[in-house]
Amino acid sequence: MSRVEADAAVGLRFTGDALPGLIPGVEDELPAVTVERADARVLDERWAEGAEPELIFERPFPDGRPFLRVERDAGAGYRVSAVEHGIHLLAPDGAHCASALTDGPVWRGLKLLAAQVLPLLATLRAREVLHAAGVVVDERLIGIVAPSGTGKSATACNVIAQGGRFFADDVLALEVLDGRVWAHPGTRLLNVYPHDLEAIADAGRARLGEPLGTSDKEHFAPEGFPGALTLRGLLFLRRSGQAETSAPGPVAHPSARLLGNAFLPYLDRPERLALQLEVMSTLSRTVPLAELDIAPGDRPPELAGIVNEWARTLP
Amino acid sequence: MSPLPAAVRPTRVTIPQHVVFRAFVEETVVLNLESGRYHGLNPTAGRMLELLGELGDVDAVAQRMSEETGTPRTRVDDDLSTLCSSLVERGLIEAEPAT
Repeated sequence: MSRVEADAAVGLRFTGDALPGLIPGVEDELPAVTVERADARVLDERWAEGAEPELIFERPFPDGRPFLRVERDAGAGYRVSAVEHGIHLLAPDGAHCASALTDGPVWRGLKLLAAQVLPLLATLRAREVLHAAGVVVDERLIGIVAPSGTGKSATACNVIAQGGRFFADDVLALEVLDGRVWAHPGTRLLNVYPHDLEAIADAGRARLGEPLGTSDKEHFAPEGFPGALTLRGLLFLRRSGQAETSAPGPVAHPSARLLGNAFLPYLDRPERLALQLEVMSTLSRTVPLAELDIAPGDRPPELAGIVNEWARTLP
Repeated sequence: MSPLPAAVRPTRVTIPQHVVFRAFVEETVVLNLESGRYHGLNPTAGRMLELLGELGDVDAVAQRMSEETGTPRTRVDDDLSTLCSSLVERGLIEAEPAT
């Protein structure tokens, strides 16, 4: 590891060929990943030569055709691919990444990088990854955890629109240093549903970053946060059906909630699971956790106000 | 060393290398890295496991627990025997039989 200005994300610095979505000029001491950009056919030939892969994760299209695939081979490492989103070969130790990005819009390749490739590299380089958004409020980094569809990203976008700073959209890369949990800034990609974007005033939208395009969501390239921060609080969002959104309260079964929100659960190598247990245990003992029960009528702008208020109560 | 019937109280135990555990706020989580299975222990049982890993000697663990918690030794002996049986059964500790 060395302290130089580098393109970084998820607690890794990237050298060699360029990848989109990285944060330039990060000065943290970080392990390096060398990047090689290559043609998809070249990568497929390379993978076919040596690999006897095992399929460890697959997400199909709604009609059942394979969409996203993650394969593992003991010697060759990992192959991550998604139709029209790119192909990536990762060395077993995460020190090298060969990438064929899509010719389509930049957000497409970025989605695969942000959702699979960079988190996988992070775990291979001894970071743990939590399924959470990260925002910085008054210099305090807050993680927001929520089941899909609860409004995690929309709430984070509104926190940013109301004056917070982007840290990570969907994945917090964590490590324990000196008994504290540090989080590394995520890939510069922010995804929000169009109906949630409509609820954000123009001035707030400008804070989300450069618009990259639209799929079922609107994609933005926010300004990346320039370095790691200690995690100051973790807020779980839950739609409970109660009449009014309550103030953040205690989290029931924090160990299960933390371990259950580990990102990339298909990565079950013993060394990963042991590190995960250590990081989550430290998190539960040293970082304030709270749960926000959301009433059906409450929208992300109001929730963002509650997040801001809660963040300012934290030490 | 091999798993023992619940009624047999071990004198010494070891925690296998494939078993790791960490304290959380409300419980101790024990992970069997070979099976990928998690197990939860209440704080008292978690402390017993910690001492079993540290001391190995079951009597010494009972004595320490009794001193730390102020609980009568006979009660700690019973609880510790039950815990050891349960952990042995789940493959989370390995026990030497009493001689």
